[in-house]
This record gives sequence, C-alpha cells and structure tokens, in this order.
Amino acid sequence: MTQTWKKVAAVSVSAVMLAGALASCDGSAVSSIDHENPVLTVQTKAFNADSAANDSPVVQALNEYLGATLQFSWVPNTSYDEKVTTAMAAGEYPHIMLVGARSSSVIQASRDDTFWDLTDVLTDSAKYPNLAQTNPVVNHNISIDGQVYGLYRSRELGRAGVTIRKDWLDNLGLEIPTTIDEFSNVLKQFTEGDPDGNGVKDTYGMIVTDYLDGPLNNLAIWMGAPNGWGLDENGELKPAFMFQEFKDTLKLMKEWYDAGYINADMATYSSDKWNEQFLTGQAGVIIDVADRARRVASNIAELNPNAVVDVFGYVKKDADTDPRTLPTTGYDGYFVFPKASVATEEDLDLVLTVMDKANDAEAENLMNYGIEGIHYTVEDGFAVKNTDDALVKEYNDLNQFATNIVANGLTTKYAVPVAEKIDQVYAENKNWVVANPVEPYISETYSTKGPQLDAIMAEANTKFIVGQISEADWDAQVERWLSQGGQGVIDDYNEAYKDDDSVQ
Amino acid sequence: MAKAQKVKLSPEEKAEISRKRKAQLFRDRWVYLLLLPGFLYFIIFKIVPMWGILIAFKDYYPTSHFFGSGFTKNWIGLDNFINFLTDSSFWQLLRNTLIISGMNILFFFPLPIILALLLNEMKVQWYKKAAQTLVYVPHFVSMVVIASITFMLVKTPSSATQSGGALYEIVKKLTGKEMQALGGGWAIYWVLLIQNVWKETGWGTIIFLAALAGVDVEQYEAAIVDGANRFQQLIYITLPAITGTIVTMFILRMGSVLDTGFEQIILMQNTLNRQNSETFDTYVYQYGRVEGNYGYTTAISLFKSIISIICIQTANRLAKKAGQAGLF
Repeated sequence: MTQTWKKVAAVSVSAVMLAGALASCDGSAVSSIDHENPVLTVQTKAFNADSAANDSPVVQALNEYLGATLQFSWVPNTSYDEKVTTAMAAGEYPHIMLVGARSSSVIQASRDDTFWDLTDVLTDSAKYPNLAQTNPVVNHNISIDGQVYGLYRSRELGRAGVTIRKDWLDNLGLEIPTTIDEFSNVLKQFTEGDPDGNGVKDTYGMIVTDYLDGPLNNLAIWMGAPNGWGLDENGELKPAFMFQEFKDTLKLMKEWYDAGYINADMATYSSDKWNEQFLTGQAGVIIDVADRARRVASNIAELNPNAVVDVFGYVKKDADTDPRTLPTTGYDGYFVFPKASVATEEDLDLVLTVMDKANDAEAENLMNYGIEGIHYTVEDGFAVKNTDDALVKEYNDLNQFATNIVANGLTTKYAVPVAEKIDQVYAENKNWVVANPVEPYISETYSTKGPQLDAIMAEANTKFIVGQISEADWDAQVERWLSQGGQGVIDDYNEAYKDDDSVQ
Repeated sequence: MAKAQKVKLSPEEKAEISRKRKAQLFRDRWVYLLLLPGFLYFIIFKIVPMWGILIAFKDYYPTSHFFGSGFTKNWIGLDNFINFLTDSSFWQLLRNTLIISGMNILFFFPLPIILALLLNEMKVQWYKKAAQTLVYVPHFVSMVVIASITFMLVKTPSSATQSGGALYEIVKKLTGKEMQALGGGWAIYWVLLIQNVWKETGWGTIIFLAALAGVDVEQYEAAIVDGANRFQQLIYITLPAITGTIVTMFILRMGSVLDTGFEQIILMQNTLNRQNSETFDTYVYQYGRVEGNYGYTTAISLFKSIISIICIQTANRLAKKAGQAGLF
C-alpha cells in the first residue's frame, strides 16, 4: 500500500508545484527577455550522451552569429515526450521548446493558449525572409484547429526507400525490381537461390522488425492502399486497413513469411538491430528510409569489402500502373514558444528573428559541422568533417536545433557511392507521394483512446502475418477496433474533413 | 464487560487524572519534541499533498490550472471513474493484473519462506553466510539487464538455418518443441514470474531470517530431549514461531495486489503478448506519464488504492478470524 500512496503523493506534489508556477504567470505583459543581451533557453532532443556544452566554441560562435546567448538543455530522445509532459506540468518552460509528438496534453495546451500562435506571423517575409518559406502543406500538417503553433523541423518528404544487396542481385542475374512481382521474386531468390554463392542455403530475403508498420505501410502504398486514411466509394474517410488493397498486402506478407522470405522472429526482432543481419550477410532487403542505405553501406564495408549496397525508392503494383510512395509528414517535431517564458510580442519577434537567422548558411554550417578550418574543411564545395571525437563533441546534437526550413548550408561528400543515389531517390519519390488526408485533424476520440486503438491493429496485423490468427479473426479485430472507439475516430475525422475549406 | 465495570468518577478524581496526564506530558516533553519532525514529515509530505487526489474528479491536463482561476472549472464528478470502469479494456486490464499478481502470490510468495527455512537449517556458519550473501545479489541487478538476458536466452531463430537462444535450443533438443517464450498466450506470465523469482527470492528471505533468529533456542533443546527429529522441530517449533511474520507479510502483499509495476512489463512487452501483459500500471504509464492525461490516470490510481484498502482489510479480518494477531 505504501507504493500506492507514494504514487498518489507524487501526482499531488506535481499538481501543487504546477499551481504555484501558473499563479505566477497570470496576466503579465512585461517583457521576459533582456533585449540588450538576450539569453534564450532551448530544450531539444539529444541523440548522444555528450551533447555540445553551452560553453563550447561552436555554441559561442553560433551565439555570436545569432546575436543571442543560447542555453541548451538536452533531453535524451528516448524519453523526450515524457519530458515535454512534465515540463508542462511543472509550468517551467524554456523560451524555445521542441515538441516531439502531438500528444493529447500538447493539443490541450495549444488550445489553452499556452504557446504563441504563429499562423499569421510566419508569413511576414520582410521580417523573417527564411521562415516565410515554410511549406504550407507541412504547416497544415502541424496545425491544431487550423492554427499553427510552432516552427517545424523540416524533413525530406520522399524519404522512403529500400536498401538492397546489389552484389546478390548480380550473382543471381537479377535487376533492381520495379514491380511487386519482381520484388517477390527477388525475396524468393535471396532465400532459395544462394545469393552469396557459398553453396549453403543460409540467407533469407527481407528483415522485418517489431516496427512492422514501416515496411507494411510502404508495401500497402505500393499495392494501392491509401496513406493512413482514404476516401471510400461513398466519399467517406476510412482507415487504410479497411481497404481491400491493405488486406492484399497483409496476405502477400503472410505468403512471404510462410515461405521463409522474412525472418521468423519478426514480431520480437528489435528495430534497434534492423541492420544487424543485413550487415552479417544473412538477409538482403530492408524497407525503411532511403538514408538507411548510407549507414548500412559504410558499416558493411568493414565486414565484407565485396558487398555492394544499393537503394531504390519504390516498386509499382504492375508494370503499367503509376508509382506511389509513402511520404513522411515533412517534419520531425516542431519548436513552440511558450507565452509563460516569451511574454510579449516583442519577445516573440526577437526569438523568431533568432530562429530565422539560424536558417542562414553560416548558422546551418555551424550546427551541422562546427567551425570551418577547425571542425571541417571545404573541398569542391562539400564539407569534409574532422572526425576527431574531441572536436565532434563540441557540436554534437546542435543539428537538433536546426529547422532547415531553407537548406542553405553545405552538404557532405560521403565516401560510399550509394550516397548520391539517395538524393535521387528523394527527388524521384517526391513526385509520387500519397498524402495522408487526416494528418492535421484532431480526433477527440483518438486523443483519449489512440494508443489502445493503434495497439489493436498492430497486434492483429502481426498475428495475421505470423499465422496466429485467421483472416476471419483479423476481420473480427477490425470490428473490435470500430466498437472500442474506432467508429468515433472515423466520425471525428469525417466531420473535420467536411469543415476543412482547404480540401473542398 | 469493560463497560459494565466502568466506575463513575467524581469531579475530584477526574481532575486528578487530568493533572497526572499533564504532568506526564511535561515530564516527557523532550520525547514529544523528538517526535515532532517525524510527525511534521508525515503531515507535510504525506497528508497535505493528498489534495492532489482532487484532480481525479476533474478534466485535468498538465496545463490546466489547479488553484486560482482554474479551481472552479472542469469538475466532472465521477466521470473519470465511470469512463474507466465502463471502458472495454477495463476487464482485460483487471484480468491481466490479477493473473500476474495471483501467480506471484501463489508461486513466488512461499519461496522466500522456504529458502529462509533452508538457510536456517545450515549449521556451517561460513557456508550459510556465503549462501545468504549470494542469494541477495540478483536483487541489485537492473530490470533492463534482466530483460536483455531473458531475451538472449529465449530468442527464437530468424530463419530456419540460424539458431535461437541457449534456453530455446535446450528445450528444442530435449522435447523437440519450439518454445515461444515471447509469443502470445500464457508464456509472458511465466516469464514475468520466473524473472521475479530469480531477482527477489533471496532478498525476500531477509525478514523471515530475522524472525527465525528470534526463536527461543531452549524450545529446540527441550524438543531434542523429547526426541523430536529435525523435521518435527521445523513443523512444531520453527513454523509456528514465524507464522505471525508470514501472516503480516501476506496481508501487506494483499495490499499491493493490483500493483504489478510497469518497468518489467514494458520491457518484456511486444505486439504478440500485449493483450496478455497490459496491466493497470502500464496503462497508467502510457496515458498519464506519456500522454499527460493526469485526471483520468489519477482516477485509476485512486481506484487501485481503494481496492488495496479493501483487500488489506479483508485479509486482516480473515487473519483475525483464524486466530492470528493480524496487522491492526
């Protein structure tokens, strides 16, 4: 029982702290930032144990360029969303806070006017020449009730891609697949045709992990299913899994699974180890993002110098159908500017000016590569990094502050040949992306029952592919999804869709 | 009986008693002063924060106001409780929680007692001490480490030509069966139980060993004179001597019957076993800590606390009925 009380006490303490913090920020219209010598606190994600220190030479150079002193508080990527929730509960906001996922508390906070509404601010191209170039589609994606509450971190839209062992294809006399049938055949030959030529049947086609949604959604798009949600024959929005094409995709994956083209332990295979069996030469295909090919290519070179890694963006359903690709949302979290810490419009203006400047080439280069001549050199217009750990440490994770609304900075020249092809894949994919129509909409039902609903279908899909449930059971799970709140989500989205002027 | 014998006191006698009490209070004033910090600790850190429970009756998010302007807003009565109790996942959560907890009480609870009795029977002191220290060690191993060890042991192979974890291969060699320890069904319950047994059995012996140390040695001597063998000594002297401790521990355990913790379960959870492994604690973690749905999850925790009080009271009553001292 002590434990239970402890939990109750913990919740209560945070409630009391919150109350105190909120009481102090009511109705103040006094500037909260020193405009002479601005000091801005930034909370963003860290992917390294030793992120750049606030007194590192690179941060200081960045401060000088931006005209403000940045103080970073680095939060590990794995617990980032939890940290955002607690920061909001404690009411202790940095000036610039990255919001990773649009959780129900983030949505609630936006509606409660906790963050500055940037909808009409970002369009001012005289004041913010860089920020005015934010993509309207992505802004639409991050909007809440039609309002934009943040500045997104731009990401490649056409990022999806398939990493494949080119030398295996060559050994088997195969080409890069262009249709689903050819793709199927590649998996078959990778499993049965001894692609590594060692005379032993010790390889299989494709690595799928406990993150089934990645490969599954890409395949479903190729097969003609909508992205996330789509319009049915009655013009009503329905989730992708209620379309026949999605079911066909599941059946196809089940075929592959049963034939051993996919790893038998996919349900429990951690996505952290996605590359592992590719690198050790046990499997030859990964459907994920195209840039995975770069990491795989540079890592495999040490283990097996003969391995050739290639990448392609998509396969078509048939030779005569148009290509379809799965886009990303175009952003990876967005920065919000809480009114509790950025009190007045002048303060906001100052912060946004800093964010705008951070999109200049000089700032982007500082965040990505450090200081020229020390941390990197420029050769043929490409940045060449100095890989000394002590130097890398001085700008580690600073790129997590970059929004890259405008890509002004230098690019790197990678040693692996596949790297250039990745950019081609991005550019080609972009032409064929299938948008998710419900991306900006907020469903009340989904925000309270979302995790539970997602779990139902994730479980049903996995169990169907590995053969634990039949097609009829899978249909029953869709019914269960509907009855446990899914119908409410459908209703919410359709209502929002009808009210959305931008699609009519 | 006590009531019937109560004697009417005269005003003088009453005054006398009150005076004596005051004198006692004054005499022990330093003792009471020493008590004060502890008393304040409980008031400030345990009782006062309980106001927070009120958010269980509000539509409350991390950014909602609690005091001040927000205090009168968003009161929703018992809606959070009703939503939870009528939610389709409630019964599934209850079932999983009770199975995990029930298996722990049934299979895990007796083990520290048995181990303590075994340790107690050891006559070679250095060996007993060494064994005791060794069985404590797993308690200090992090759950994350235990989860990865488990995974390495029971992992299934990726393809027909690869091999799985050591334990998986042993079972396959011995029985020909492919053990799906991380798949669906009841497997997850056994995995959780075995992890618990491995980690906590040794640590759990501490309190019972302490109780065993207090058993009167003369009783054993008398029993030996009467011709009792080792086993009879165990049954008739040792066990009765520690029954009180066992009952107390059991009553306390009943109080946490809905607590499964979330760390261990979240580490072992995957899409195949989620339906069997989602419990109140993992649900509260997901909806409270990650999603920030504080009002709703406080209601769930409060519900758990109420059930805990009922369980503890019931267990206590039953213990008293059975002639034991009980907890209170």
